[in-house]
Amino acid sequence: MILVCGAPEDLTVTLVRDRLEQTHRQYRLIDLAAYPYGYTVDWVWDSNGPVPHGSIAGPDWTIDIDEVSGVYVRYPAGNWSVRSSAVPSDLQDTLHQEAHFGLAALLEDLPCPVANRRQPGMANHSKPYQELEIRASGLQVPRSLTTTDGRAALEFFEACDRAVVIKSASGALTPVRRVSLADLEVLESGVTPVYLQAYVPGDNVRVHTVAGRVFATRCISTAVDYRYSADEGTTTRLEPTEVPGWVAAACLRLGGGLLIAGIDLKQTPDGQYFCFEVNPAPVFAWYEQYTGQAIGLALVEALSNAAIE
Amino acid sequence: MYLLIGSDADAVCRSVARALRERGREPFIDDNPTLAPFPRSRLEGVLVCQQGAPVPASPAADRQSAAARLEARAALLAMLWALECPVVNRTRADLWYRARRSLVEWHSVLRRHDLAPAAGQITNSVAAARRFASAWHGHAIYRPLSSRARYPLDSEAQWQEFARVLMHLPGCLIEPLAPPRIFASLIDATVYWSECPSIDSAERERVESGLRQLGKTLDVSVLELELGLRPSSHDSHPAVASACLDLSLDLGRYAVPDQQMMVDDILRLLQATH
Repeated sequence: MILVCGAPEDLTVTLVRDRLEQTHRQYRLIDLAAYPYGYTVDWVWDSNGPVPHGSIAGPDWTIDIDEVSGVYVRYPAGNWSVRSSAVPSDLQDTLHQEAHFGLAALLEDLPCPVANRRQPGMANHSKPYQELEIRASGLQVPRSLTTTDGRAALEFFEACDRAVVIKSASGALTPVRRVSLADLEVLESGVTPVYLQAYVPGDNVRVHTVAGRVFATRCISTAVDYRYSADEGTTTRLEPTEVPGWVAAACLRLGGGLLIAGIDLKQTPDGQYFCFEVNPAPVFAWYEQYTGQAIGLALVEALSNAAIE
Repeated sequence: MYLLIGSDADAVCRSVARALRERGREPFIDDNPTLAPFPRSRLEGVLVCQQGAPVPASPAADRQSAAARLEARAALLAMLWALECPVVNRTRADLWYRARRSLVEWHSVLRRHDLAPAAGQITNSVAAARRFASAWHGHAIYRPLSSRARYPLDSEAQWQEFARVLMHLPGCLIEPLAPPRIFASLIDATVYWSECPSIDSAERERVESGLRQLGKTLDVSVLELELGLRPSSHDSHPAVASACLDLSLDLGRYAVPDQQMMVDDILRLLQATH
C-alpha cells in the first residue's frame, strides 16, 4: 500500500495520484491540508523491532504501518495543518510543528521507499552550504558571495562586471533577480546576509533524477528566473533535452540520497554547465505537463519497488 | 581569535572563553556571528555550542524578521563548512536544522548504536496512549516534539488533560524511566559521567562504546546522552536506557574536576592543527 501525503489540490500530488490510479496501484491519501483532523495515528518505537509499528486510520480506512510499501510526501508550504478555532491562536504554530515533526519522524524510519525523507534534503535550506556539496559532485557552481558587508557586495558586483543575481540563502521560495548598483548601495551592513551569485547566461536545464533515472528539460526563457517569467512579462518554453553523460552522472550523485530530486542547471552558450541547487521537493508535474516526460510514472514505479532502498 | 557560537548564559561558552583568556588567547562569544563580520583569516578555531536553533533576541536580532534570521542561519552553516581552522561540533545540514530532536526521532540511530532508547509513541488516540502506558502501570511521560517540556502522566487528572491535547494533535509519549537522571557526555573520544549509581560495568562500557560510535556516525565531537534506569529482570543491577540526546552539554551536571578536564578537552580540539 502506497501512502500519498500532501494537499489534494497540489498539482504534483494530483499527478502522483493520477499515475498511481492509471497503473492500478493501491494508495491511501493523508490530506495534509486537514491532518491531523480526521486521522487517528498510533506509532510505537520500542525494543520489539528496528522500525516503528502501529497504524494510521483515515476517514474510511485503516492500515498497519508495516503494510506501507512506499510513501510520496509533499508538505504544503507554510503552516499546513488545518487551523482549528478550538486551538488558541498562539498555539497554532505548535499544532503545526507537532503534526509535522511527528509525521516526519515516522517517514524517516519506515523501511520502504520514501520520496523524500527529510534528512538528505536538508542541505537545500542553505544554498551556500549546498553549493559546497554541488562542487564536490564535480559540477561547476557560479562564483558567489554571502555577506553582511555592503562594501564587499559592491566589490563583488564590480568583479562580476555588474552581472549579479540575488537570491535567498535559505530555503525561502523567492524569485531570483538581477541586482543593480542602486540595490547594493542601500544594503545595510551587518543586518541580514545577502547571497549574491555571478549571473550565468544561457538556457536553464532542470534535471529530475528518479531512482537512478534522469529526465532533463530545457527551459527557454529570457526571464532571469524562468519560474516567474510571467511576472517579468515574458514566457517560458519547456522541451525535453539531453545532458552529457558526465552531467547526468553528477546529477545522480547529487540526488543520490533522494528518491526524486529536481536539479537546476544552466547551459551557457559555449556549452558549459553550471549547477544552482538540488530541490528535494520538486514540482515535477509542471515539467511533465509541458513535455510529456514520464517523471511521475518513474516515481510510482520507484515507490512500488521495495528493492530500491 | 576563537569564535564561540553560543551565549554567555552557556557554561561551556563561558568556561572555554575564560580558559582561552588565561592562555592569552582572544575569545569572541556570539550567537549569530554572520552579523558581526570579521576577517576569517584571523579565526584560529570555532566552537559551536548552539546549532541552528532560533537565534536569541539581541538588538540586531530584534530588527530581523523570522525570514531574515533564516537567511542568517543558512549563511552561518555555510560559513562553518568553508572555514579552514578547527571547528568543534560543526554539523551537517540535517542536524543543524533539527539538532534538538525528540527521542523518537533519535530512536533508530540510538538503537543502531546499542544505546537502548526508551520506548516512545506518537498517537492522538487516548485508548492507544493508555495501552502504551499500561506497560508501566499506567504511567508515561508526555514530551511534545516541539519543546523540551516533560509532563508526567501519573494521575487521572493529568490523563484527562492529555486527552484534551489529543483532540487537536498527536502527542508523543515516552516510557517513564526511574531516577536519577544520569548524563554521559562524549568529548572527542572521552566519555564523562554526571554520576554513576550502581550501574553494571558492562552497561557503562556499552554506553561509552555506543557514544563513541555515535559521535563518528553523526560526525560530531561533543554529545550528551541522558539516561535513566529501567528495572532489569536479569540481575540485581538496573539496566540503563537512553532518554534524550543533545549536541551540546550542560557543564553544571558534572563534578568540578571533570568540568575542568572537559574544558581542556574542548580546548585541545579547538587548538588542534590540521
